[in-house]
Amino acid sequence: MQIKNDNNVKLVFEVAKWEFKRWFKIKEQVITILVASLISLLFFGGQTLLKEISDKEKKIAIINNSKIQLQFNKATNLKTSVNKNHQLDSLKEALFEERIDGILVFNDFDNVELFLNREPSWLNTVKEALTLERQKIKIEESKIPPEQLEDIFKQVDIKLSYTVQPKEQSASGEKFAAGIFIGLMLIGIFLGLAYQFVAITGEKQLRITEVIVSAISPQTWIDGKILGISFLSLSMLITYSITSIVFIYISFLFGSGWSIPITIADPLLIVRLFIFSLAGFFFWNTFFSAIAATINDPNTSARGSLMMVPAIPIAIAFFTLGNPDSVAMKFLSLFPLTSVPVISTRIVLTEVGIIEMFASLILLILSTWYLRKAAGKIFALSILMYGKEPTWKEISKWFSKSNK
Amino acid sequence: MEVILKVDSILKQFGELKAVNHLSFDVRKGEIFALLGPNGAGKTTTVRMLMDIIKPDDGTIEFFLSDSNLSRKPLPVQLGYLPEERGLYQEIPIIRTLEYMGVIRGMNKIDARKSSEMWLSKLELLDRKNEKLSVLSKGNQQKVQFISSVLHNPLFAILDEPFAGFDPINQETFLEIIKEMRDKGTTILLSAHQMHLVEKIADKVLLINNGKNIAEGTIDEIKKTSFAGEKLLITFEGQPEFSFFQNDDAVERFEVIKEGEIKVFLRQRKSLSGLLGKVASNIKITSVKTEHVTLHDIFVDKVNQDKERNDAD
Repeated sequence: MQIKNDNNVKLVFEVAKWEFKRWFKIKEQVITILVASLISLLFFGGQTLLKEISDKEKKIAIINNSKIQLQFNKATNLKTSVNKNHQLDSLKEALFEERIDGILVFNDFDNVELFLNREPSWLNTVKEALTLERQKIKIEESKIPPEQLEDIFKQVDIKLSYTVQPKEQSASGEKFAAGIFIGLMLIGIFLGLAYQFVAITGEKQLRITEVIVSAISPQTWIDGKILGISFLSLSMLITYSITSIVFIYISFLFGSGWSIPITIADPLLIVRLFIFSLAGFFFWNTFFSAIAATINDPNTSARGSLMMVPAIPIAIAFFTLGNPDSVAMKFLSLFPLTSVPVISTRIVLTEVGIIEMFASLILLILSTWYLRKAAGKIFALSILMYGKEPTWKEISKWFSKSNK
Repeated sequence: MEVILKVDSILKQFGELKAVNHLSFDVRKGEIFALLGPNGAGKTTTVRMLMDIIKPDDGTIEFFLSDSNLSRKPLPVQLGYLPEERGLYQEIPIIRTLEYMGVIRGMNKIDARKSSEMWLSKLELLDRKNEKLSVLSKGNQQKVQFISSVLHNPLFAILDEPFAGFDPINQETFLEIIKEMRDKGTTILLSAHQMHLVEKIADKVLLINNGKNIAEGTIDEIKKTSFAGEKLLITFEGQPEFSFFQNDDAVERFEVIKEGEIKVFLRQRKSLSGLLGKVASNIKITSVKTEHVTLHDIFVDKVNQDKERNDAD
């Protein structure tokens, strides 16, 4: 009876602003980034510190009872001293007092003993040094010239000839970045859905719904919610992306060897990923607003488990990492339920045609538009069903009735 | 007074149940119109149809709130609504919630804030405007809920059980507030169970039962069509027979309220001398007093009559 305009853009934005501000806390976002920075500092800094401790020069006393000349590689962190057998007791005393780190008693290559106070991190270095020494002696004993030996161990070389020009293979760094992006998108979608569930079912439980829909149409209300929560998801994606960049950068500073691939920093790529992420958040939030509208109590409703549905396309997106140009992945780039994570991954890893991207985006926007209409209708119909959760049969009955 | 709301034969059916059964009524500009009825009478369903939350299966609802609006559909800013099912955001500062409620009803943010503060001040809650609703007492939460429904100064306010949850002092305060709103030009449709409060403020009353109109008019008009005389409240000892009341012309009906207490409704302009003589000879009276028939009495009587008619059908 009232004039409640379904297309009232101003009101949709008012509701969206309210929903966004209701859940978005800048303090929490800043804390997330700071905590992640602190954790990465502790993690990589601690790792570096431990490495430095373990890389400290180790003093090894060697008692060589054989005639073999042992020569440890100078590049290692082992400082060796040659001693006599009768010094073993005094060396053991020095070991106990930690003036030295170990006593190596060498009788021959099959009879080597190492005295220690604790398990050594440098054991492999000693083993490798002795093995190299052994190999050197055995080669000398075999009288095979070094050139011949090299020829014996030479690997077979295969020349690769393609019938079509191969596409440039994605570097492992890009795959890593794509994997991280899928993960972040997953976090954004799931957090968005959680907020959407709480926002809709919470208002139903608090009996706010009747007050709101007496002023604005259910469609305006649900549109505002979808918009607000989608931007909330996007803000979380941005926060977690910053967190990931900080994490990678700190790891880089501590010499992890990780870095952000240069192609990821391409502004065009960022814009494309931004557009698809936003479209994806709209799609999934619309999808779940319709489901949440039918739920009375999220704590007891079995429909809450439907929140796991987005995990399926995200899981599929991980297969994209292996073969981004397969026919299956091209199809899944167009199918709205899977398109967002799949095409986003492909955009990072390979060259996706502009027509393909547009087709994917248009299909996604169209399906979101129709889903939004359906969500508005379902919400309008289930709005006053306090204490009873409508069955799917009832919902489809209402739906077909409202379409007449 | 000009008609501001015209409801014509609205019907709402849930399965086999006719919650509202071809109900018609008019509300005039500047009046306080009370919609009364027992639980399940169809009051809330009627109110929800007026607010366009649910659609009637049949009949029409027309608002005449402004000359320029020929569609007979009100704008959200013209209507205020206090629903029976109360609820607001619990974990958000009160002032923010009120601003939002004003904005979605069509106010700008500054006006919404000013009006919210004015109402909060009026109801002695201004110093708590930045607190979360959840920390307020139930009564104060009710006040905030009331403010949220009228802060935009609507032309027409629908208040479903506005006195529920208030102590007698606050009930009196809200009686004054509702009168004040009416005096400033807001037409009010209210639904309430507290008959003694409704009687004090309602200009017109519509009694419904089983979704149908069973009485309508001003309180005086309804009293005239009813046993609008006096009633005798008699307390007594023992267990007397009351059959003599049934044959007396002066008695409309009687009700045994509890052991040792009876209420006798009297017909207007009938001599009581015969009746009092019979009472004195049949009952060992301990006290007698007379009272005016109240809206509550009329309400109970009308609903019972309707029930008897339905049972007979």
